[in-house]
This record gives sequence, structure tokens and C-alpha cells, in this order.
Amino acid sequence: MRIKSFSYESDDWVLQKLDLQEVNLLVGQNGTGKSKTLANLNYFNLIEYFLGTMPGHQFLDDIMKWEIEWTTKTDVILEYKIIIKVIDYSRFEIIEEKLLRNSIILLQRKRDGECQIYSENTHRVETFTPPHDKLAILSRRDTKSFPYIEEIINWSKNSRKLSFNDISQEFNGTYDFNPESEPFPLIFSKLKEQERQNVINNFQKIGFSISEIRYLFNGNHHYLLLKEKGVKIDMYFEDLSQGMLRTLNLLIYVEYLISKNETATLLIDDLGEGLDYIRATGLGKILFKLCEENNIQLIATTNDNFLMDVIDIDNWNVLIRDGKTVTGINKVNHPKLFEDFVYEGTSNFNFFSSSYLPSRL
Amino acid sequence: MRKIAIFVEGNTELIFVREYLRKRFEYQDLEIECRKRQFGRFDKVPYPIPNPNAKFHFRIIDVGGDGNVLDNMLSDENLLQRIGYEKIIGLRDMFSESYKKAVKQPLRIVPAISDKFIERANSRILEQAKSPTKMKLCFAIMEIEAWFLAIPNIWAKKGISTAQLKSVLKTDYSTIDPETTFLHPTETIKDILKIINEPYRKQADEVESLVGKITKQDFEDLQNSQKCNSFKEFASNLTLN
Repeated sequence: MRIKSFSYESDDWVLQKLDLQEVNLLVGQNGTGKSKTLANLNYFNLIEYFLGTMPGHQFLDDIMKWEIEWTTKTDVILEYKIIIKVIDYSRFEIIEEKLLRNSIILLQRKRDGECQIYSENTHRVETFTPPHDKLAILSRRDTKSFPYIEEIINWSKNSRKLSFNDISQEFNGTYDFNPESEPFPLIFSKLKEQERQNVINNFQKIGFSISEIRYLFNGNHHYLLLKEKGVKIDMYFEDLSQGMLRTLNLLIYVEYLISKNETATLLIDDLGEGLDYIRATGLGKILFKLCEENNIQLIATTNDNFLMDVIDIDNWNVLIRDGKTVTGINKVNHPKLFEDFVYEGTSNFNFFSSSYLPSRL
Repeated sequence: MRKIAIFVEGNTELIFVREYLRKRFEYQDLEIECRKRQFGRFDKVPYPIPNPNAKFHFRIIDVGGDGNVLDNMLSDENLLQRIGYEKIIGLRDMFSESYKKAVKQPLRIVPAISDKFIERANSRILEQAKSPTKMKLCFAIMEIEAWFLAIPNIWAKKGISTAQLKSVLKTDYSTIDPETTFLHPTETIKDILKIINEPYRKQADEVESLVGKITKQDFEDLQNSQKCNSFKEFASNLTLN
């Protein structure tokens, strides 16, 4: 299952329908809303904590709308729409909620709060009234009656957002909220021998000369001990440079997702931040390849022009902002722009940094 | 001293152009400077011919990638003109990831697509260069290795007979035009060199081993032949009126 499209609207910011593929690179000038897009997508990664993850809102009576479409393994389109009203700084009211499958309504919450939901078990529409501040899809859980809800929940359990420049030893980054997170060394310990070797191999491909990684637990803390070629003393995880640490953590987490063999969406903000040219391009190529080959949907943002040059522009979404409205330019909605660009004989970075786009939009 | 800057996509092209200039000028009245632009650096690379009293100066710059050639030509134009360069030439292969994307499957030589790449390069120069008449991007079609394939003496000197060439190429070597026959000439050279158990990974010594065998006469014969029009185009642009 992967996200097919996403849009968001509030009084101060509008993201027009953004088409998404298996692997995606969001690019754009500073301030165009790359990180904000990922932050809004992340509410769905953490759907079981949806309103709990909402930041304190400054605008009373603000109305926020989300629309997200998923494509399932069987090519069914699930479409989910939510409208929320801000009551005060930390209280919200769900005023509309709708879930559709191939345009047929499965769940609908009306403005008076009453919900109707279709049961696969009884083939009937049932009625219930969830709390005004709780999503209807979380209020009725039944794996036989509402398997389509379980599909969304299961997808969200495997989906994560990482801020690349904030990947520390602990899973929780400043911008993440995930009560089920675990330290990366512990995640590494759960990998099988071959999977651990895959992490080492990929780490080497990116240019780091690590030949061995061992997991240790002293009763309190989880550690990794790394052996570097030509270096006598082994390194503790915490002693790695920020660049190595971020890269290793990401590779561990991706291998973990692959090992689970379940549908997942991985969001990464500021991919490549702080890495040198060789590591950034190496990581970009490996990450996109691993995700594409293992059915992990990847949505990454970057400002790194070297990294942009090694990611096929067919996987790009160029975000352009006009006032409060953000639009994504991609191969789905502007195919000719992308087809013609191959003849420009220039680097990918120039797709949005040069006059190519402005002169053609 | 009259100056021309030549931007090339990689080391193979740098080695070839350097050798071509040496042989063409027979080391007379010639100064060559070789540079590599990478990671923000602009390093000197082998092998220059320093000659401050030469009539002609060529600066060959490896910009590390086909997509960087025209960009670098345009971005360096002002500076190069200020320091006396009269002409800016670029050389890159036609065969590239962009070409493969444009052609789609099955991969093959499509002259109309090659023309489109050439046309767009010329348009970009007209649109963006300050002195477009003094700038030209040349394409080695489909790769510079096609030009190696068009020089029979290279293979003879490597000890590869005509019969052996025919067994690999599956056709009469003397009649084909490598430019219109081989989509990926690098692979063809790999197959040929397997005959004598030599690799071809585009490493400097391997390229030198081929290019070093080309004489001035070989270059002239190629330019006067019916083969590899892209070489003629390139060679003719390396002149100053």
C-alpha cells in the first residue's frame, strides 16, 4: 500500500493535490513547504495518535482539511478525507470524515457527528457516534467487519518519518513523535545475520570502511561497536561522526523495513544533510534503489544539488509556492516538461534552479 | 597566442583530444593545459604541454559528466573571454542516460533523436551565450569510442587481425560506419579487446594504450573518410580564422 496523492488546506496554507509514486524526491526553494508537506503526511503515519500529534494551533476556528489517497496491493484506491476545526490552542473537533474505496463510500461522518460505516461481514451499513475529537476510523475496529480500516492502520504502523539531520542514537528526533520507537542499536539487533551484513555492505558502498558491526547491551543501554578497516581500536556508535551516524541509522532502519516485508511509507526530511558529495550521492542512489526494489514507498526532501543530480527527475516533485498555495510539478501532471528536459543536456539540479521551469509553466 | 577552451565530459575525451592536438600540430606552436573540475576544485591533470611562446593555446577541461559540459561552457564564457579565449568548444557523447530515456525500449540508434539533442544544444547556446557564434557543443556519436573503432591502425597495432575483428563485429569492418552501427561502442571495444585478453574499463592507461597508437595520418584519414561525421564536425571546429 502506498500514498497515491495528498492535499492539505488551512487558512494559512494550501497544498494542492500532490501526486506521489513509489519513490519520490521533493525539491524546491527554501520556504516552499517541503518539510511542512512531510509533517502533514506524518499525521497519517501516526494515525492512531492523529490529533495528539497536532501542534498547538494559533488560529481559533481555523478549518484544516486533508485528503489522502492510497493505492493498495490489489490496486484498489482508498480515499480518506478529514475536516477539523480548531476549538482552542490544543482542542480540535472533527467535523467531517469520509473513507471511500474506488469512489464508493465506506465510512462517512456527518456534521452532526453521526457516522455510517459499511460492514464487510454483514454487508450492511451500521451507524454509530464517535467522540467529536476522535477519528471515526479509530472508533470502530473489527478485522472482519472493517478490514479496510485495518489495512490503513497496519500501513501506518510500519510507516515513519525521519529527519535526516536529527537522527540520533535514540529513534525519537525533535520533529518526530512515536511512542513505539526504539533505539537504532536495538533495531539492528533484531536483524538476522544476512540482514546485518547487508547494512555493512551498503555502508561500504557509500564509502565508509566499516568491516564489522556488533550489538551490545549492558543492561541499561544498547550499543553498536564498529570495526573500521585499518583502525586498531573499535568505535562505539556514539563516537561516529554525525554523517556516519545518520547514514548508518538510516541504513539500519531501511533494512529493518525490508526484513518485515510489509507495506510501508518512509518519509525523510533533508536527506543528505551534512554529508559530503560522495556520501550524499552514494546514499541517495542506494536508498532509492533499496526502496524501489522492496516496495517501500519513499518520500524524501532535499536541498542537496549533488543528490538531486543522481535521482531520476521522473521521481521528482518540484514544489512551487505562490502566496499560501503550494503546487507540485511532477511527471504525472506535467509529462511534457519532463520528457523535453532530457534534451537539455544539463544537470537535474537545473530542472528547477534554471529558467527551464519558469519559462515553460 | 590564440586560445581555445575545450570542455569534455570525461577523461577518455580529454586523453583523445590531447593526443589529437599533439598529432595535428606535431608539437609545434602548441601549448596544452589540462584541467579537471570536480567537487568545486579545478585541478591540473596530466599531461600538459607548456609552451608560453606558442601560437596556439588549448585548455582542455574534464567536467565529469555529459550533463555538465554545456552548463560549464555557458557559465565560464565570461571569464574565458576576459582572459582571451576566442572560442569555446564542448565535446560529449551522444549515448547517455538521457538518450536512453528519450529513445525508450528497444534501445537503438535513432538519428532523429540525436538531431533533437544537437538542435536543443544549439538553441541553448543561442539563447544563453553572450557570443553564440564563438561557442559550439560537439557530440561524439554515439560515443568517442566510435572514433577509435573507425581507425583500423589501432587494432592492427594491437595485433588484432581483420578476420578477428570480423568475428566480433559479425560484419566486414572496412565497410561499416561505427557512428551509425554501434549504439554503445564502448561495449564493442570491450568485445574486441577480449580477443587479446585485455580489459576496457575506460581507465586512463587503457585509453592511452589505444589513443597512443593513432598517428597524424590516421586522424587525417578519418577526417577525410566517409565515416564518423561527428569527428569531422569536431575537428573542423578546432580552428580559428
